Amino acid sequence: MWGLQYDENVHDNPFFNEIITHHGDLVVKASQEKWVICIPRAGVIEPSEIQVDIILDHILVSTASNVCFTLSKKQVSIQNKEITTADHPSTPIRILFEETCYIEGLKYTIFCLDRPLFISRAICEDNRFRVLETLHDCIDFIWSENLSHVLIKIQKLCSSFVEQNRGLAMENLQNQKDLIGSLFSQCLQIVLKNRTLSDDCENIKIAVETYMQSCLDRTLVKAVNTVTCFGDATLNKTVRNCSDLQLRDLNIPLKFCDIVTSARSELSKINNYVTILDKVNCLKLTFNHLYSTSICLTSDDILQILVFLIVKLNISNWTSNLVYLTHFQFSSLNVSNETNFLITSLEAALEFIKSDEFNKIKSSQQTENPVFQSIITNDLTQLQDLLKYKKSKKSDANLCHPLCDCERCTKSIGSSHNVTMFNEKGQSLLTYATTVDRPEMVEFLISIGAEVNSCDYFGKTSLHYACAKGYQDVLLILMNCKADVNAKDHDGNTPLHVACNNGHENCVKALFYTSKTLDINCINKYGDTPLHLAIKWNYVGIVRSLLENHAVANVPNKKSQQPLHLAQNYYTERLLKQFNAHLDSLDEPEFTHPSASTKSSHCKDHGIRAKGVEQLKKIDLLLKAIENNDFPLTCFYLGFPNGSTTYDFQSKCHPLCNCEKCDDLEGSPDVVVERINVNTCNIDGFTPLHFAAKYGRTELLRILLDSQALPNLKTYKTLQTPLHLACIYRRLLVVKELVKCGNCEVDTQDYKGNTPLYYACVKNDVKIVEVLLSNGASCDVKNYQGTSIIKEVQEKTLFGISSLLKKESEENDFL
Amino acid sequence: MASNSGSYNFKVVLLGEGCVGKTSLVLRYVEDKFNTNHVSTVQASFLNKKLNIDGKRINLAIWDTAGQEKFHALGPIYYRSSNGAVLVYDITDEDSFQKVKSWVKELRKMLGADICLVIAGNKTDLEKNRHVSLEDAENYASKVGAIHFQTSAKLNKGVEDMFLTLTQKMLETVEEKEAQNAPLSRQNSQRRNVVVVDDDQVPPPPTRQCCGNS
Ligand SMILES: Nc1nc2c(ncn2[C@@H]2O[C@H](COP(=O)(O)OP(=O)(O)OP(=O)(O)O)[C@@H](O)[C@H]2O)c(=O)[nH]1
Ligand SMILES: [Mg+2]
Repeated sequence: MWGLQYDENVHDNPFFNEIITHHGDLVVKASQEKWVICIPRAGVIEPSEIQVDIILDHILVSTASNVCFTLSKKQVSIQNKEITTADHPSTPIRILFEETCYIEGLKYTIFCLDRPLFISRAICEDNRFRVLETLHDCIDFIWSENLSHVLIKIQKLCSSFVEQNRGLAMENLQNQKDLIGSLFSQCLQIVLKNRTLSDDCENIKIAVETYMQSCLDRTLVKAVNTVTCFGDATLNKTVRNCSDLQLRDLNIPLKFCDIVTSARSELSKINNYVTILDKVNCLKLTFNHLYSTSICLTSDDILQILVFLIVKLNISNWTSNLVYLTHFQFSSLNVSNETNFLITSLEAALEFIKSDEFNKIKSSQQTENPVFQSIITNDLTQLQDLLKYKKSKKSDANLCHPLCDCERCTKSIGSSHNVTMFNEKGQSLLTYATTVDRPEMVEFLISIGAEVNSCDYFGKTSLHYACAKGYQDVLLILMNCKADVNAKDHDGNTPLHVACNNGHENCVKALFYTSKTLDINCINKYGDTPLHLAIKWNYVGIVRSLLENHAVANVPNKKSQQPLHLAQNYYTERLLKQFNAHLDSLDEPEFTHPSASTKSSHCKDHGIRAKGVEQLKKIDLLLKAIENNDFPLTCFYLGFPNGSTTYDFQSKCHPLCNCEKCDDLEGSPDVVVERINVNTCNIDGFTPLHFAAKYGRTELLRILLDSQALPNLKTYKTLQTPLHLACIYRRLLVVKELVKCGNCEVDTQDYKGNTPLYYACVKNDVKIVEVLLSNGASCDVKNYQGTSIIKEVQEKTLFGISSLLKKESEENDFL
Repeated sequence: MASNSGSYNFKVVLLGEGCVGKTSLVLRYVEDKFNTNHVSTVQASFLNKKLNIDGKRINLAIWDTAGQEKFHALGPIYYRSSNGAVLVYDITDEDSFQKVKSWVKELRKMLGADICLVIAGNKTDLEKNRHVSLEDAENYASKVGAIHFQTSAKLNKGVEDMFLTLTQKMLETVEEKEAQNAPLSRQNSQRRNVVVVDDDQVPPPPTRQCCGNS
């Protein structure tokens, strides 16, 4: 268990044995009278000291209150799992554990104590049993065990691990676990090398593991963040969208308000720690705040409070924290301890937030006013009636002047049914209709003159709310009606800020589509640009959109954080660097394997990035066409002359036809105007050549190569060339075509260090292997795990391939 | 010495409809009269209890689960890798007994015969309002391989007996399993073995064993 609790078998304890063997009658009596037998833990009392009077000092007669007497008639008080005696009132004695014994028909309770009762002696701190709860404890412990020399060794081991595993973040969870696990074994070996087995073996393991984690520092945290980043983005989106959740929405009684506040400030520190031990301890302290109330907290209460805390805290990687805590403990074997309970509670709370049940809770929209009510019920006729009714009546109202807005008149209008009326939050009908996603109502209200840009008491316009909630339909209507796309609320947030904060990629894109005046780098009150917010909450898709639309990545906010500093995972980090080459020097070296990065220059390695959403859309259509084997359409998008085909792509199947193909033709006349460069890639770095290779479109591939398509471009994430894909998908003809194009590199390594030949071998495709080998592919390239192709093939017992490779390498040796 | 070699760790979950007395039962069991005085904090959701049954040391970790219906789906998170479950119903409430049946089904489906079940008909002090007949309940229990108990958390009747019997049954189950395939069975609840590392012996590879999380 983490922070191992003290335990010993009291039946091996000399003090207890003395009682059992020489004072059996006492045990029988204790069983009848429900006395408690106190046992000082092994080693704190000399055998010679174990006398009758001392034993009588250690038998407690239970009473109803927390004050009770020993059999020797001395008074003690018990509180907080500690016993206080009259002779040393300031140094209570810890009850290490309590055990109920059912032995030979007797039943009695034992308290195991940290020190004997009523024996005065200098209390030596060193002699106390240690529970490792923090990194600090662990380092102290390592020192006290005379192991301080290993600290520097572990540190070195960890630094070289970090050096050698720069791709850690791109590994899947299992590989990450394996890598860290074997690092832990190595660390442990250092410690145990010159050491005989110690009682505190478990504690040593914990201390070593914790120290190792602290040495790995953010590397490990960031790696786990990367693995879980999409899960976290989804969670964050849910959480951001209910940030106005109240205690009462979760049925948390108000009496818990205080403990919730203190628990909140404790839990907010969880990301200040990098070790599991410290994080768990943070959870434990959080729970202790909750338990500090005299009110009995049930599992329901705890779960609800945790949910509330998670929603309210500004932490964007809960999933990552959970995965880290559950998957990266190697020294612990025990599943049923309190640590496990703490982590499970966190897991349950997160799981609940993701569930539909939580969706139902989200603060309910309630209103008494019939006009607002009609919006909720989506009853357009009623709304029309109510507003019309008021129109006729409005003439009766005694306004100073038809356009007057003095206090009295505003009041009479404000409280009346009128398109300018507002609710207690200052929301106009239009804004309200937006918040509950009623596009028809929005359209109607605007048509009868609702002010599109009116603000509520928070300075938020309808557009803000559409963006906050992700209601794209409403957003499009508002944009169509000249909503102010750069309006700021009282926190200085624009609608784009809000959409980015709440993770609504659909709205972010819609804003880009519909607005030419959007200020993408606008800062709010805290100096944050929309990019800051999108990065903070792990919305990789939005980050990409923003960057593609020229978001600036080096604006510091008021805490002097640049977007890059907020990046918690490698995806966002790499995106930022891709789009802003100059950022490279700013932070840690770029992730890629050292050998791969030697020739790393983005413009040459990868395809031409599509500029803006329009181009992205085009390249996606083009790639889709390749995938669908729609050759004419592909040529059409590429703007190739149709020499190679007789298909007349300008004419529809029929003049009035609107089949998909014809629709595409019709809808995209401007697509043809600007032809797509053959080396353009989509958001993942796939060029047309990649797709042609992947799907085995050999004819197209030839045309592409003839049109200056570069054969060695790599995808962003996997760093694969078309040749890689052709081998993975076993496209023999494509492979032949690629290798004979002249400048194709056959031994390129992808993100794992694997070459095309590797994949061909693993797929057991003898023909492709032959082609590659005859074109100079090398079979001794090792991948980043250190495995060579030959070894891999032997392990997989692919005999045909194996003999081919052997022949090849023998020939090479011969040469 | 810190290692608790030779002791068993058992996880026990309490399941049942809201208000049947789960929390009351566990509080009654763990915080007996003597104890209520020295535990300052009342934490009911997770409690530890150490037992020593004729020299076999057992560490019970008792998990009280959230009872509200909206949390029902979280059940598996709580009960996975449990050795035992206490299924509680209120003898004055027929619905709560039906709920026990659905828990039994779910547990047997998810955990099979690995989990020891006891069914507790609680609030026997309200005998005059009984709505679940004892015979039915006992028949049902024996049909599904569970032990039935009548308890009253209020009057402290049957509570200790129930947990003790459950513990003994969990011991039997584990020991049977250990006997069957001695080297394999140390998955979660079994004897905690301290790994002995010699000077030149490589420590065991990190466990890939799941820590109770799928
Ligand atoms: N008469 C009587 N009342 C009991 C007994 N056990 C519990 N109660 C009462 O039943 C009510 C519910 O008890 P809890 O222990 O909170 O029930 P629970 O199953 O934990 O409920 P949830 O946490 O909501 O799932 C309380 O008012 C208890 O006082 C009992 O044995 N007899
Ligand atoms: Mg309860």
